Amino acid sequence: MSRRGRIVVALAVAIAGLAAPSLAGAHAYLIKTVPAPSRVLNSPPRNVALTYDEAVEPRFAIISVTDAKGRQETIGPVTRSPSNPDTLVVRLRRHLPQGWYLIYWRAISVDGHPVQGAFTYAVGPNPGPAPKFVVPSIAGTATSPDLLVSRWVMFLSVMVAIGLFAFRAVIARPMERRVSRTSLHAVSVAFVIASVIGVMAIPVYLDFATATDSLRSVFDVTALVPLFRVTAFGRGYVDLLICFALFAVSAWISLYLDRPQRERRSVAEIVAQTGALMAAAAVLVIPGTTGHAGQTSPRGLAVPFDWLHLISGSLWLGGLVGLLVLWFSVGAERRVPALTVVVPRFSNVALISVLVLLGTGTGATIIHMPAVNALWDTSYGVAILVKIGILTAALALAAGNLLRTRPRLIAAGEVPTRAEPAARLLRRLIGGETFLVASAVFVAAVLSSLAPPPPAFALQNSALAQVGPGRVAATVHRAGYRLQVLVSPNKAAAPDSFALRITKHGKPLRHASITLTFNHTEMQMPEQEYQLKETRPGLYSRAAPALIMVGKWSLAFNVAPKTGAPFTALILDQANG
Amino acid sequence: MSRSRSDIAGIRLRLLLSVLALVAGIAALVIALSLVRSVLG
Repeated sequence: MSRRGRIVVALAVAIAGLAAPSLAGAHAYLIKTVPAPSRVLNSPPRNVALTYDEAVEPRFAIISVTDAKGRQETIGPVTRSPSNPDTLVVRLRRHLPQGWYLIYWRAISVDGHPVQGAFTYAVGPNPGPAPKFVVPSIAGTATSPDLLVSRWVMFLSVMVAIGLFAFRAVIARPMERRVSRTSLHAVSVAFVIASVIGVMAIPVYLDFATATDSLRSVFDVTALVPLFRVTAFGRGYVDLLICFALFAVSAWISLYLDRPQRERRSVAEIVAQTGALMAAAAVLVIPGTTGHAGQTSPRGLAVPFDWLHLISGSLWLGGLVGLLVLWFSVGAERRVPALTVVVPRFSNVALISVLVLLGTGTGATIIHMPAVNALWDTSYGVAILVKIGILTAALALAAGNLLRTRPRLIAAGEVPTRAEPAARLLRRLIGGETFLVASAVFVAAVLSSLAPPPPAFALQNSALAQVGPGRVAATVHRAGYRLQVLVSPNKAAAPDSFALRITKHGKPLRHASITLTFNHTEMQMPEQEYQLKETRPGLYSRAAPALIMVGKWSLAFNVAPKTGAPFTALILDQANG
Repeated sequence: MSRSRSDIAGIRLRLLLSVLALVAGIAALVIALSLVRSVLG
C-alpha cells in the first residue's frame, strides 16, 4: 500500500467514530394543560386535557391523576380530543374532593422517544397545603439494553450491507480481472449475510421499540404489529424495512448480473447497479427523517447532514469489512497482489468519506447542542465525547500502526519473503479498525436513543449563581441592585416558597413588578411564570409547587422597578426530591 | 456471428432482472422522498 494510502486508511479509521447515525433534536412538547399547573379550581374538573406541539398517539400515552394518597382518579383510556388532534384527554371521577392532585403524563414523541412530566393542581376553595407527592415510576426509556443492542445490530447490519455492496460492485471489482485466480465471491456472500441480518434486525428493533412504548411484552407480536404504523416513528421504520428489502433484492440482482472479468459493464449491469444504488441512497435517508434530524431546525440542513453522514459511514464500515473478508478469502500467494489492487482504490473512497464525516458530524453537533458545556454536562453530550474518545484511540492506534507497518510494506514490495508478514500486519490493523468502528456505531446507537438537551439548557450559562440542593439564601448583584434569593425548602414536587429581597444602596426597592419564570434545563417542559407579591418593603415572595421534577431549574426573576430600566436576574437551582 | 436461442433467452433474462432491480430502486426512492417531503414540507 502506498504511503498516501496508509495515511488515508489511518485517518479515515480514526474519524470513523462519526460514521454512526447522528440523530438528535426535538421531542413532543407540552404546550397547554387543562387544568393549568398549580391552579386552584373552585370545582373539580371533569377531564384532564394535555395539548402537545405535535399529534402524539393516545394508545402510547399515559395520563395519571392521583391524590395525596396516590389513589388513581382517572376513568377510561386516554383519547384524542375531537376538536384538536394535538390534545389528549382523560376523564376523571365525578365529585373529586377538595385537595391537591398530581398529574403525571408520559407520551411518545413523533421521533419515537418517550417524554414525561408532572404538575399539580388543586380543587378548592380550601385545598390546604400542597402535600409531597410521589411521582409514579413508569418504565419507559429508549436506552434499555435490549433496545440499544437491537438498534446497534440494525444499524450495523444495514450500514455493513450497503458498504459491502459498494465495495464489491465498485471498489474491489477490478481485482478479479487484474489478479488471476482471485474471486470476489466471498464478499458477495458476506453482503448477502449482512443484508439478511438487516432485513431481520429492522422488524426486531421495531418490535422492541413498540413494546417499550406501549408497555407490552416483546413477545406480544399480534398486539404489537398493528401498532407498528401508528406513530410516525413506527411508520418510518416500516418504510425503512420496505426500502431495505427493495435494496437487498436490487443489489442481489446487480451482483448476480455483474461479470467483474470484463472491464466494461453491460447495459443490464449498469441498469441493475443504478437501481441498487438508488435504493441504497433511499435507505440511508430514512433514519434521519424519522429520528431527531427530522425534528430539528433547520431540517433542510439536519436531514441532508444525517444522510451524508450515513452514506460516508456505510462506505467506510463496509469497506473495512470487505477488506477483512478479502484477506481471509484470497489465497496466501495471491493476497498481497490482490490487496495492492484494492487498498489504494478503497483509500481514495475513504479520503472523501473522512472529509464528509468530519463536515457533517461537526455540523450536526453545532445544530443539536444548545451550548458548548452541554457536551460535558448532559448525557447526550457525554455520549458525543465518548465517540470523540474512540476517535482519539483509533487515531493513536492508526498512527502507531502506520509507523510500524509502513516500512514493512515498502520492504515487502522489494523483498517477496516479507510479503506475508506485511499482509498479516495489515489484517491486524484492519481488524482493530473494524472493532473501533463497530464500537463507534454502538455509541451512536446510544447517542441517538438519548434525549438531546432542551433549548433551555443554554440558560444555565447566563446564571448569576448556582444554588441548591436544599434551602437557598444566596445574594447576587445585578444592574446596581443587591438581590437576595430565598427558596425554601427547595424540594421537587413539594410546595416551595420563593422570595426575592431587593435593595439599592441599602434601601429596599418598593412597588416593583416582579415575575418569576421557571424552566427545567434538562427536560422539555412548559415554562411556568408567577407574579411575586411585595409582602414587606423590598421583599417579594410567592409560594408555589413550581419545582415539579428533580433536576436543575432556571429561576429568572424579571424585575420592573417603578422607575428605572427593567432587568432579569437568573439563578440556577438544583432541586432534589 | 449469430446468437443461439439460449443466448438470446439469457440476454432477455438479464435485461428483465436489471429492469426489476431498477424498478425496486425507484420504488425505494419514491418511498424515501415522500418521507423527506413530509418532514421538510
